[in-house]
Amino acid sequence: MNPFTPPFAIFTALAVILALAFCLPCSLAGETDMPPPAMMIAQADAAGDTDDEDYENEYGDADEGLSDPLYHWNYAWHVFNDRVYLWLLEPTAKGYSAVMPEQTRGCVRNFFDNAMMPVRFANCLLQAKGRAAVDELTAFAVNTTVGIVGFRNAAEDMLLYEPQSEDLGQTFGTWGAGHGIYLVWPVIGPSSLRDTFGIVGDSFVSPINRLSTNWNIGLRTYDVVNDTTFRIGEYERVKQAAIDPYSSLRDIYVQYRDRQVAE
Amino acid sequence: MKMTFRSILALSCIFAASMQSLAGEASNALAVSVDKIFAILGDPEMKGDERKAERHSQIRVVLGEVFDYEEISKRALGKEWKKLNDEQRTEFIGVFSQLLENTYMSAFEKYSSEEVKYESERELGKGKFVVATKVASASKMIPIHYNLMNRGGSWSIYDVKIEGVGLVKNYRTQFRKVISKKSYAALVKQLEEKVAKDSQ
Repeated sequence: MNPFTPPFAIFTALAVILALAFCLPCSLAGETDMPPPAMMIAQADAAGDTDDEDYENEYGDADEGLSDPLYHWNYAWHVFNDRVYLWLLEPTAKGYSAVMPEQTRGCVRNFFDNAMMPVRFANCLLQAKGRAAVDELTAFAVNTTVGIVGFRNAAEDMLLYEPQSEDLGQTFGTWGAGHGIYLVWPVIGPSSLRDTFGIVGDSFVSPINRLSTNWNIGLRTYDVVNDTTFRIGEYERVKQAAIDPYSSLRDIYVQYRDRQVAE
Repeated sequence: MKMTFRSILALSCIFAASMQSLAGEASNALAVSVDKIFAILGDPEMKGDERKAERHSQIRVVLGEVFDYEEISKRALGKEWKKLNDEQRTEFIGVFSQLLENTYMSAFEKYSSEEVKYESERELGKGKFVVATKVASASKMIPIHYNLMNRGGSWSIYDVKIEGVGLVKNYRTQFRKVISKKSYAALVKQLEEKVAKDSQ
């Protein structure tokens, strides 16, 4: 599928408009009581430092950070994803990493990272990050040639650039769109209305989506399994530290994405 | 006029220099504690599963010195903190600090070989500083920001942000949910049960 053929172009445009229509009002409404974290700290410090200091300003109202009207739907998928991860994905990744040396897995990760350049490049442009866009192009050129179709991250070895994650969800964020509502998707995991539109939008630029469905699903699965080998045990540690894993993960998602947007 | 300009320049240089030395203090205090923990983990006498309890109790002491558990508890509970009497506060700090210790312990056990890089230090005002560090993991450099405050010359950590995810804010979200859905008493019970289970 080509994103530039008329029906898809229209769909992309619609998705963007819808996303903004949904998310912008929320972000505007939220702005009054949810300033960015840096401002919150400054405000709290300005508010005085007595013993009964109110920390509400510094951390904001945690539950207002992201509304969760679809809690039951989200919670069901949260439980589903937990099982899929612990019973299927991680055991598979462990088995795979036992037979595949770390270096090879690193090469596979580099390959996928390099192949996804169009997504990052497009979003650098949409966020008017000229320098980062040029870096992406340079790195892609170097990695595809010197790095043998991206298996080696030659550009990073040569300290040409520091790769940063960019996606359409972040782009909407830099344009001022809030998350809208929290959404948990099967397998994909925590997301939000804004970031869901982002994922859909990015998929039109993703080269992997140009492949046939079988190849598409196969490669994506392989990418996810390969990536998981580098993060074995992380999810368990988050769960171990949590008193309420569902709201912990939701908060981690929001804070993590907010930082990515701010960068 | 020239004199004034020079003296201003000299003054600002001295001021900048003193700020510089002050700016390094939080990082130094943090580095001392981090080094102590890695020294315990790296001690050949402390290796192995049979020395685990001893190793952990030594690390607990260092963590207790550098983490301001009271401040963290206060920030994580927010409004609820004010409703508690001294006894309840002590009880909460006790159980919450154990959860934090267990969490950090398992993280340190995992990352013992990793290198910590101190990147920068920024003042937030009123004796509060953020120290930016990076820790090398298997696949990338993970940014960890420590919030420290200076109280009467001693430094203590009151928040930690890993890849932008703040510890206090994360627990605040969870505590708020448990308290609103159930009660404060239920939260304490849940914490106690969790700590008891993890410490087994």
